[in-house]
Amino acid sequence: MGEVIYLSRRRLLQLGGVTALAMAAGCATSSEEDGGDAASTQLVFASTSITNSLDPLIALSSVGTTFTTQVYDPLVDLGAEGKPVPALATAWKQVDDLTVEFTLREGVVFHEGGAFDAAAVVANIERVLSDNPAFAARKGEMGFLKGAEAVDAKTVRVTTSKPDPVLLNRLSRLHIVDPAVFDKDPAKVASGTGPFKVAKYEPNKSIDLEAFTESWRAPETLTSARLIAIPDSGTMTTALRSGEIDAVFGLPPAVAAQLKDFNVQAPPAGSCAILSMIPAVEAKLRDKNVRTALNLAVNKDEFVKEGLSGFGEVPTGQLLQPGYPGYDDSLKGFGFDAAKAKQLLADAGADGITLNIATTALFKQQAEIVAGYLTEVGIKSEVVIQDLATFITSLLKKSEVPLLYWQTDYFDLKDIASVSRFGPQPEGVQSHFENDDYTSLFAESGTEMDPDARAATIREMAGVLNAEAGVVFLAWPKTVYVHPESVDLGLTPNGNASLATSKKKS
Amino acid sequence: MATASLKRPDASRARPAVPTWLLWTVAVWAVRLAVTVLGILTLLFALLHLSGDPAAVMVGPGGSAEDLAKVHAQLGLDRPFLDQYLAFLGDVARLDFGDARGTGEAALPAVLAKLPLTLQLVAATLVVSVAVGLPLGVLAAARREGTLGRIIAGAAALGQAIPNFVLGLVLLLVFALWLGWLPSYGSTTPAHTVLPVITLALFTLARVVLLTRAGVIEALSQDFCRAVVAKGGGRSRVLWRHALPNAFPPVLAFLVTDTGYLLSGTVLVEQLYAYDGIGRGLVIAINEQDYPTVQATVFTVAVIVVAVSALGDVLGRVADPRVGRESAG
Repeated sequence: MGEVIYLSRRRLLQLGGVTALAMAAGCATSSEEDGGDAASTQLVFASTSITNSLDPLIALSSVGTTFTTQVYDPLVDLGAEGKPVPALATAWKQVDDLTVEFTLREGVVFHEGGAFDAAAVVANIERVLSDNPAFAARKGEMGFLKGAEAVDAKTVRVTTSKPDPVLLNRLSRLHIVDPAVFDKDPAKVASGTGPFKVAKYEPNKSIDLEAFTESWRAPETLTSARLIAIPDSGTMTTALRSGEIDAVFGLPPAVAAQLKDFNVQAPPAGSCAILSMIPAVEAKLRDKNVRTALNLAVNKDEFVKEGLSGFGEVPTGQLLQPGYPGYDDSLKGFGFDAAKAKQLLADAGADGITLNIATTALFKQQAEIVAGYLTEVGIKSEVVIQDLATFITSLLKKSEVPLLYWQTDYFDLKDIASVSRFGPQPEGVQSHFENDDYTSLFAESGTEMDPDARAATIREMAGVLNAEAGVVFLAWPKTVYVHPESVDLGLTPNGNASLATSKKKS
Repeated sequence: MATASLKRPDASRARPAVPTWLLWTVAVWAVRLAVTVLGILTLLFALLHLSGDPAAVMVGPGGSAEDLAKVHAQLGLDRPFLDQYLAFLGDVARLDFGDARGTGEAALPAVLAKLPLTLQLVAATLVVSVAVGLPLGVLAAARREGTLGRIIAGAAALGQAIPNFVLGLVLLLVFALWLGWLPSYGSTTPAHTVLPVITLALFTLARVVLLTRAGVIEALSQDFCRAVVAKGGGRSRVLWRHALPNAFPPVLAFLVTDTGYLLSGTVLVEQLYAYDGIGRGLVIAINEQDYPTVQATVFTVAVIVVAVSALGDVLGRVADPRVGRESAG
């Protein structure tokens, strides 16, 4: 046995000093070099977060779409005003009410080298229809999608269980993944047909993209790009000003509005900011006078100016924006009339009523502005912040709070079908608008295959919702992108960043 | 074969190979670790399950009530709470916290992969605090009546009062934007570590300075220091070889306690600088209701904090032998 090492106080201090030096040296040498290529054709695109998965069936949020737009393609994309345009399918025809036949683009290859064909489409449709709970949200977007069958290598037939007038919109949300990577886990290994392929993925941190020159829509000038996550808006602004990043998405509107010396692009987000009114929580909301009073109580112009820093438009008393099927240009918004709102509340015996507003932390400021207006007309209103899961449960199932502030953009179908929460609901689920006419019209619009007849039905729905003040229309928000003059940030007709068409001056 | 022999010159009797107090300390801390981790995980399990339905996040706001019910059942969330808890404990015993949402990777290895970056921040903060704080504290004590001593003590008091998110924003403006010396975000190079470490270190450094100063001043007034001076010991020798070692135990105790605070403090700093450690990962996991990652992160932090406390207990006895004697009766 060796002798015991006696550690004195002095030796402890000495050892501490040596350890300190060793650690300092380690800190100075252990980290790897920054993987970014500083070449002038690389564009660094920042947002508050990046997708938590490379699998387009899981990457659902706006940052997920930012990623999938660069790396994957759907069969059909949505062009200006939500009209379907060719992507991986160059043509399509309705075979019958339940079947659409697609002609696929020739010469398309996946990033890993395999050819894109009908079998790949069939495999992707079977995958989204599987019972994997991770795909639940995307599967929900697919509506009545039933399956697909390859007619030949370049022709595929997609079937639905019921007539679906917005099948093409739904398929614009299904990005085609190379079946060769199904076994490798598409959450971590990406292979699509888009203009960029993934060179490196560090979850929650960054995605390095390389131009895929064999893509049918190869990048115009960029050779690489980097998507990065910077959660703090102050840091993001500093990085933009210092030139470390080239473009940002997701800055709070108030911060974006302060960046006067940068270019700001603000395409419509394709959504409507609204207050849902839940009669099951507060019976007074069954009274049309009360619902109308809430619509009149909010100054929508000021709301857009203060709550969205001007990045939005005042709705014309309907959910859908101009250009969308069923938009009714004869409808008018409710305007702002606090005196009339007070009178209507008094007539309904609802003056002094308590109507709190539930929302998520993301929309806290906007909800507080609305609560302020409601307070002005004598309604007691406070904002209740819920975590995302609780709020979604409140939204989809049961709320304890009478008003919900949210935006209808989550489904992103660019169609009234995306605002399913006002349609028919199963038993035990709270209704956001108790109106039999509206729910039956909603159901009708969901299966009406004639475009004109369907547009007429949607216009009728908009009329009912407006006449009954079934929801408080607040704003049509815009998506905000900020970049310097030296960057020409391309956007898709759908309002997503398109790095393939972006340019960067050296 | 030569054995490292650092036996104390005046030791009059052989010491046991492993001191009894060390065995007891290890045993006590092992039990404490198990109880603490179990308690934290139980609390976390309850809180997370009360805070919201993870199935709702998977279905999303565009889903339907039927979709929600189906995913709820697929995840086993319709099972009795106790069944879920017991299953969870069984998994934890195997260090299996499940797979992270999104990437689908096993949660604990994913957290451990990010841990070195966070530990690097914490270690660098402690190193900077000790390497700079101890000399400044000694200097402040030696010159306590002079201008330099007052400036150091005043600056340290001010350093304790500045919130680190304010400091972080100021540092970003100065060093990343105005001077352009350092990157504003990221965690890939040593340069990325500088601003986060300064942000984290200011409070700890200030405390080390003030504790060292107070300890050295007190030691200088004691007989053993006066005796060294009377025997002709130089001022420098008295300060560094006699006063500082006596002032060190409270500093060490503070650093041990502060390690836990630093680990939690990294959450804010990592968010601010987009630094890819476990603190930022925790925030993202909470936002996404990613239970496996939240639980794996909290488990990892709990183990580290308890282990550091145990290590601090051992080092505290070494730094101040009176602790061992007192507890030995």
